[in-house]
Amino acid sequence: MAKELRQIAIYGKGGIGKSTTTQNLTTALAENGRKVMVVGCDPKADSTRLILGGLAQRTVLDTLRDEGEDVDLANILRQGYLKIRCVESGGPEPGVGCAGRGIITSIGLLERLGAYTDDLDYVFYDVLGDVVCGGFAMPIREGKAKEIYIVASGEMMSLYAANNIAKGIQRYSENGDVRLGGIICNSRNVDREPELLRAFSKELGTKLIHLIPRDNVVQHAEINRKTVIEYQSQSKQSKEYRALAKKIEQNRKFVVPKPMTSDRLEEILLEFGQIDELENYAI
Amino acid sequence: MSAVSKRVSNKAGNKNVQAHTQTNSIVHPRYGCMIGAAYSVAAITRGVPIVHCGPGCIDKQYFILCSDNGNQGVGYMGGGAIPSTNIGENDVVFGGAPKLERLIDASLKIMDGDIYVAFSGCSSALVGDDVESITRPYQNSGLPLVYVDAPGFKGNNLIGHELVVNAIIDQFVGPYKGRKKKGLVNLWTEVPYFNTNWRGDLIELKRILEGVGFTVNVLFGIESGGVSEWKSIPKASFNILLSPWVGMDIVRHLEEKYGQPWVHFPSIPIGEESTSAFLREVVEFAGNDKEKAEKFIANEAKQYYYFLEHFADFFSEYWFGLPSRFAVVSDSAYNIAFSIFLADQLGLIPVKHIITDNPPDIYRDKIQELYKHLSEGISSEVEFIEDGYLVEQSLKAADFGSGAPLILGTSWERNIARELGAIFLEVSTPAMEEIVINRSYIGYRGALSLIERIYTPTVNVF
Amino acid sequence: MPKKKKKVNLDLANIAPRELRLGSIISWDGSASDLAELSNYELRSRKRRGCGKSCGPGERGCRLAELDMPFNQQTMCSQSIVACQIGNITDCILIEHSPIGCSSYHPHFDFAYKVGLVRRGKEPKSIQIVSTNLLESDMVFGASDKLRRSIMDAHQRFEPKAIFISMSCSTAIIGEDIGSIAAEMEKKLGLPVVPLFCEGFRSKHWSSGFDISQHGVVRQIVRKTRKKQKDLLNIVALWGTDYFTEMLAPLGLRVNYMIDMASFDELAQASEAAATATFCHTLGSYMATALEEEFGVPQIDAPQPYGISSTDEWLRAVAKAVGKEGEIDGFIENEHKRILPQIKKLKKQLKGVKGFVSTGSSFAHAMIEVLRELGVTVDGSLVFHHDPVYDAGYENQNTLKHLVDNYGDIPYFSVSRTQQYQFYGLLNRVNPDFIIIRHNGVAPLAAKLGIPSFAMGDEHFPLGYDGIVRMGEALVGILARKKFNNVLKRHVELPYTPWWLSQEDPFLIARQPEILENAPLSPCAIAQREYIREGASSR
Repeated sequence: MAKELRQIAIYGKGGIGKSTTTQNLTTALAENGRKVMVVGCDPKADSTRLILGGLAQRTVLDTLRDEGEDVDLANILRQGYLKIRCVESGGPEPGVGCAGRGIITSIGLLERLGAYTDDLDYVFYDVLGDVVCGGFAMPIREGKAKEIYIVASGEMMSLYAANNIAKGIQRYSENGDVRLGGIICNSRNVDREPELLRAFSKELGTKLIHLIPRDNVVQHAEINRKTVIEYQSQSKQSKEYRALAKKIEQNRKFVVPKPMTSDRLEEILLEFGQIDELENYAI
Repeated sequence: MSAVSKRVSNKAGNKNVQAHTQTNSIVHPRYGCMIGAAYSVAAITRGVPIVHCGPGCIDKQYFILCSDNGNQGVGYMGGGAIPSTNIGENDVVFGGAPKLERLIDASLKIMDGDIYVAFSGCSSALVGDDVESITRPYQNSGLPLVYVDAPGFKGNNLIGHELVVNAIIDQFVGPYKGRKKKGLVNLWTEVPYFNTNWRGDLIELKRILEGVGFTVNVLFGIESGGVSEWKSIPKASFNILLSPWVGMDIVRHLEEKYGQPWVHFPSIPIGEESTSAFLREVVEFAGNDKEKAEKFIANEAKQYYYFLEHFADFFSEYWFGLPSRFAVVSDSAYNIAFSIFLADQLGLIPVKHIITDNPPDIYRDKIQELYKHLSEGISSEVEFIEDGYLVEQSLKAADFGSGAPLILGTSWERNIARELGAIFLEVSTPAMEEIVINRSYIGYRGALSLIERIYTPTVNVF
Repeated sequence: MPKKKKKVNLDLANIAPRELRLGSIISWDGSASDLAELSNYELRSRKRRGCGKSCGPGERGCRLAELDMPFNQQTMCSQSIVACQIGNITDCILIEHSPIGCSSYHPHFDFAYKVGLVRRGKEPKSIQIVSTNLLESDMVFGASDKLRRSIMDAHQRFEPKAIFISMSCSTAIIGEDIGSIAAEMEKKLGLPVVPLFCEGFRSKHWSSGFDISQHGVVRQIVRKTRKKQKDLLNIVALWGTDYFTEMLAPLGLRVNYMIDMASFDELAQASEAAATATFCHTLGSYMATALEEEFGVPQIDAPQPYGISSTDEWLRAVAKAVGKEGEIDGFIENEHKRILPQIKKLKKQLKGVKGFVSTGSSFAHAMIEVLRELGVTVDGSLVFHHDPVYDAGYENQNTLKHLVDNYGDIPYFSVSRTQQYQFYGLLNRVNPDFIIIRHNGVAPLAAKLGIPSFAMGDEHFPLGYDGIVRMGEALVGILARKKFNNVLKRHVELPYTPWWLSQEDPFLIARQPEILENAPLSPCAIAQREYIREGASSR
């Protein structure tokens, strides 16, 4: 029986820890024998460095620019820890060109080169920031990722971004079957964070999939260019990522999100004491 | 905006949809996009446009503005000679500015021009190439390079024409504080290439203005002195604008920049009466020697009526029927000019006037007003339609009576004209089935050519 | 994993541009024999079938070295090609999802369409290509609703059998999802809605637009059936006169022309044909290969039908493909008897004449063959791009090699898009008496050098035996026009600097970029600079 390929896009505000979460999550899946590919959709091209152990990865767009023809899958796809397949879309320097178009170009090339092989269980897209333009929505367009997870924390700006992403998902779910799978909380140890995230998720019509606590081992692993699971397999944090992987593997609740108005979002934030913090922050 | 809005049954089930109302959709385009204003530069003697856009953009403008518009040809500059970055995928993803810089560098060495104007189109605008910072060093070093941001989604080639003229004035002609030269005028009228007969029309306009004592900066085409003439724009004592709306932004800009007054004639004159009236008004405005002007006018009138009198024999005695109702489908400038001439000078009955060049909303009421006074006792309605499907619907719905109507239009009206049994003449963009060399339909001499062209088909029946 | 792989992939709506699929190049200069050798057709062909050694990272074995020209002039784009292909289907509608400027080619395509309809014995009528007419706000807020609106307009106003949507540069950059909208509207309207990803910047050569059009047609219009019409031959063509029917009459075959001027049903039946052929592999190879792989419609295994021996071979191959092997031999013999005396006569008239061919690549190869049949010298040619291999990769489709092997080398064989500034040097190298063109942009320059052009608007003109005679007779007329061109030459100037016109090598600035860096500025630009400086000081 042919396996069902699950294509999953991870969105979230810049700097929230998407790449770290994605790489640890995929490593946990690979530990369980799953065949996984990670496609980094960020011009910084740092979505796979932990899996590749810092291995220099040529981005799709650089390769396309330099080669112009005869691009072989081997030029742009590297296998990292636990044979996880890694691709970095790459993109322009900040301030020039069109990063969104870069994502469209690279995913198109991956499809044509046959990167999506039948043996794959999962493809993860790690997407920069917000769904700011059509290019950043590429991973969730027709025929691609149907499941989205949003990485967020208890900080107000991260929830604003998450709500915006939900708007993008809602838009694409009108005519396709892209759905929100849940919210992953990458904890910043903000006050009442779990409650806030639960309330926020509920309001969106989804659930908080998992709360990953803050732990310094993450930074240590990153300095060593490894995922936590590879760096300290038995650490508490590794277990958290394995738990996340399990929950995602078992997740069957996919929804069309109900994004909030900004007034409603502020109400929730107020309820959990986050607005004050922002005001201080603004001063 | 369209007068026609007939409800049709809607198979798709959306009950409020009207098949015959104007939407965003356009078939049968009648103008180019902003980057088409590169042809305004190509119309300046030894002007070289340099375009920063996709590989097909400027080629397409060549077709609608030039080749498919009277088969005009480009002469020294235009068509295959226009330097273009031909933006590719890498330029979009990583930015196209370096490619433009390289192209400008090479153009200044390979293309033999007096002025170079860089246009940036849709792709470069969307990816945010900083074109101005590329062109500035050239300008600082004194090279005749001008830059215009001209993405096609911002407007058509007519808006682009105004933009590029103003850009050349600001970046090339520059500030001027000297004296004005009496008798020197700047003429702003038809858009080069877009107005099918622009080359012949400019010759006629320059001829008659010189006839009444002016020195004319005609700025485009063979009668222009090229960049040195552009340099003398600020010296002119005033600007003449002969166009319903295109060029308003130019004369206003010149007024602000050089303190030049301007005189506006929304209708380009055709035939002796309106041409003479036009000349008298300009002479009056300038305070020129009226006697000299009247002498010229009298001579032109004598010639004009000599020919018209001969034509009148045919017009009065032809047995086999002449058109009595007419429609004009064209850009604003030609539309109002032809409509007045046909209604007021030939005595044809106006039925339809469809303006297709998308004038900005602020000008539409004023344009409509012009049709209220086509001639004494003759008032008509104008429609603004850009979509060819709706143009056809409108013409189909018109009441042309029982005889063959006269339709002045574009290539796109050829089919419906045949269906309506009309006498048909292509006068506006696109005019694919015409070879235009030095033809003019305006002023004194052009009016007579227009009469020839309209009535030849009425005798050419076999 | 050297398993046999498909040459075309109809699973995806999107298709790779030629440079990625075939390694096509747009800038090269040398001899035809060198290019044929460097193209490595056979190796590439094996690789395309998945049974050759791949050119992995660092292995540049089969990559053609391409010149990087720092200066370019206008060319054409794939989106235009889609308009002149899909926009010319008689009962379907193309929607251009773009600002209006992308539709500025329409009057021209309209004219060609009407001419084409008449040539195929159909009633002339206008094209109806709908532009979504996008404005600045659409670039910021997205334009999908306008696309839906235009699809509905097209559906209600023109009642098409299928609707196609073409992408433009701007809509591709803002990431308009025409794939999803096509799927959505297809469901809603109950007719094929076909997305075509032909944004101009995506390919460096417009001919990718042919493949994109054909891909859409084969994927969503052609009937998925195993039914056969044994006497039907697909011809992938443009607007050419229907000479194929008379050529194939002795075999009792009917011709199914695609894509221009075809109806929905004519395209749909392509899967039922006995075989597929084309007048030019540059144009037809993708579609022929797709039909072959997807529906088992074979391709005609012969050289293109130009010149005597290739026409012989082509006719025999067609006969074989339709199970009438040998039935054509008598006809061929009679044709030779009929045509050879005429060719002999023309050869005498054209003795000593030199020609230059400047057209699409495979067609240029054929044209040179026909000219050489007529005894015309061809020392130079410009093709607008070069495909080192075609999609099918059949040996018989290696048209450049066929030319070199059978008709001899062309010493000055150049690859470049319609670059007028290079054309001056290209012509000066070989001093032709006439040029053959099909694309706009270069002939006006030749005209000013005293060289008349044969604008071959009817691309079927040189086909088969009669084509050789037609060509010869037309050339006599073209050569007479030299009078006009010499008048021009005596009186008009070229828009290029004396520095550039003094260079002998049209590719100099790519081969030695430093020469361009050190080249003088246009004397007129310098004069203007002086003028500007004086002006500034006097102000």
